[in-house]
Amino acid sequence: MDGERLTLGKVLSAVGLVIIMLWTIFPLYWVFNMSIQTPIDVISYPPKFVFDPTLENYSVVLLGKSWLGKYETVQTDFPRYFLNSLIVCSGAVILSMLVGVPAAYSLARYNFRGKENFAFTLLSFRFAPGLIVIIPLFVIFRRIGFYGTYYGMIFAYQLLTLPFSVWLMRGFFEDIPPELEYAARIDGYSWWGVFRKIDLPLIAPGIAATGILSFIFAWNEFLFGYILSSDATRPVTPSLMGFISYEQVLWGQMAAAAIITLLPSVILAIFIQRYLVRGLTFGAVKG
Amino acid sequence: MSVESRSRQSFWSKNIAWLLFMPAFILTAGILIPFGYSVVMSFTDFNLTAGTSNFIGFGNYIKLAKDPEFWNALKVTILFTIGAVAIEVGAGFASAYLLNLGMRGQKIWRTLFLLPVMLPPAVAAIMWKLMMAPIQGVFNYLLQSVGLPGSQWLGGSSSALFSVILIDAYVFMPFAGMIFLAGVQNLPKEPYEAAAVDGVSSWFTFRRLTIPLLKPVILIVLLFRIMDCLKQFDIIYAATKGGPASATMTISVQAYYHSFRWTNMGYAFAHLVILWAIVYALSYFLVGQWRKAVSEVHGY
Repeated sequence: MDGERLTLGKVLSAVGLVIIMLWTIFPLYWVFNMSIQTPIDVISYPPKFVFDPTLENYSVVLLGKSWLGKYETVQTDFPRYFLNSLIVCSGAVILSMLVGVPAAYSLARYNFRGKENFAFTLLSFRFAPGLIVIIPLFVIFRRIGFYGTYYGMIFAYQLLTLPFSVWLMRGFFEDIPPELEYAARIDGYSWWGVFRKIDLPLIAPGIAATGILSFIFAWNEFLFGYILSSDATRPVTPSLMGFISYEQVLWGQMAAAAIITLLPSVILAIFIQRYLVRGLTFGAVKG
Repeated sequence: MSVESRSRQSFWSKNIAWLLFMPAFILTAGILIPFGYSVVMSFTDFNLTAGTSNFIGFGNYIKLAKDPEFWNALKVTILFTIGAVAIEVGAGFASAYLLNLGMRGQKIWRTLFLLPVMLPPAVAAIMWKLMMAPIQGVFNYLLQSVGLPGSQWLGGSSSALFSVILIDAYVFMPFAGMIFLAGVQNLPKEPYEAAAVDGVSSWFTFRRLTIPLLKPVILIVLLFRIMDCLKQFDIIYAATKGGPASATMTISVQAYYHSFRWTNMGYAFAHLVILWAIVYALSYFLVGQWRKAVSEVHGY
């Protein structure tokens, strides 16, 4: 460090930072490492840091092919699980946005009787253990034929994304001063005109961030998908449990499947980093 | 404007708040139905296989009170929560401090630091399971290469709980860290300038100024992490399925077994209602504390 004095405090801080970074990055690095190893390399001891990388695990997992050669492979419908996740998560997010934006606007701009109670009721799922809602849904869905359907799954997933979206977007609307709206009203804009010309452009980044965060939450969800889907509609995150029983032989493929599954969430999250604090606290902390 | 259209207009404008809010409420109030169903069914011997659903009063709850497995699950749930929250808050605070010193490359470090919080928890558990494998896993290799004994990790009855706590901490420590970081960045400058003028020690400043000013964010972290740890299912189920021998059997996982393995729905619901009551009571308390802290700090 040119010119600066190298104090003990600085050295300790740098060491601390290195430890934190290792803790955060090493597991991701290592699992990626495993995902590009051959079946022999992946179970070798001591573990290999240097080896001939192969993309075969990815092609096996993505294309649902068998491993060519003498090793056991798992026949999964990974592309289909991936598509299922896309359908269910997008469906839940679109639904959440369609009904969530008006609701958030209403909570931010109007006063009506019992408003806070209603708003809080939306949150009640956040306080409830997942199974207390999922088991009855499972029983009811089976009875009315919703079990294992995309509709049923989308309905279940939006229970997760909609309350979150409403709370977060309410905060974004509250950030827009109402005076702006009044001014536009006086200028002769209709209610809809005000909403479209004043509010929407201002809140668009907030809506986008909310949508992306909702998508990540839905993508990461395990329990809903694990219980409410049939084999044909299973989303990708719960589908990973299918690899577990073969763990002895299929480490490389498991690692590849894990990497593929976590990639969409991580990439999307980097784009909306600025909103993460706010999003993860339901708007309680404005980062 | 005709009379009719004016009255239509006034209906619209009078009820606009409701009309905008209701669709969302109806969709999510759907949740109250399954929730109510669970509560009601916890008073029955509802069993999917046997096909029974007779009202048995507090039967399930009395059975719970006498069930050593339930008490074990409660103990595991509480230990898991205390362990994970302690690590997450402690390490999260330290990370926030280190990431706010203005070290070189700070922006990149902050981004990398955040990555685990966006991983699907179940996937993170599977990743760690691969690394924690007792024989070929990389953790034992690293431990042994510096001369330390390896561990059974998730497979050992004494190490499994600590191992799942580590996984939870891996995913959620950055959550605590990033919220503390936001809190630290939003701290007002003036009190610190005043403290510097008065020549107060940095420890005193930290204890008497930083901690009280950060109280709202500390409470938010505690609220979210305690709530989620008490309910945690994904990580534990994906890593150990509650084993070995109930070492990581939390109430959620136990309820899963009662319902989907043994189809004892009524008994499972009793577990979940108790868990819900615990989570709700603690959240209610913490939300109250948080509101109080916010009004103390910001004066509204």
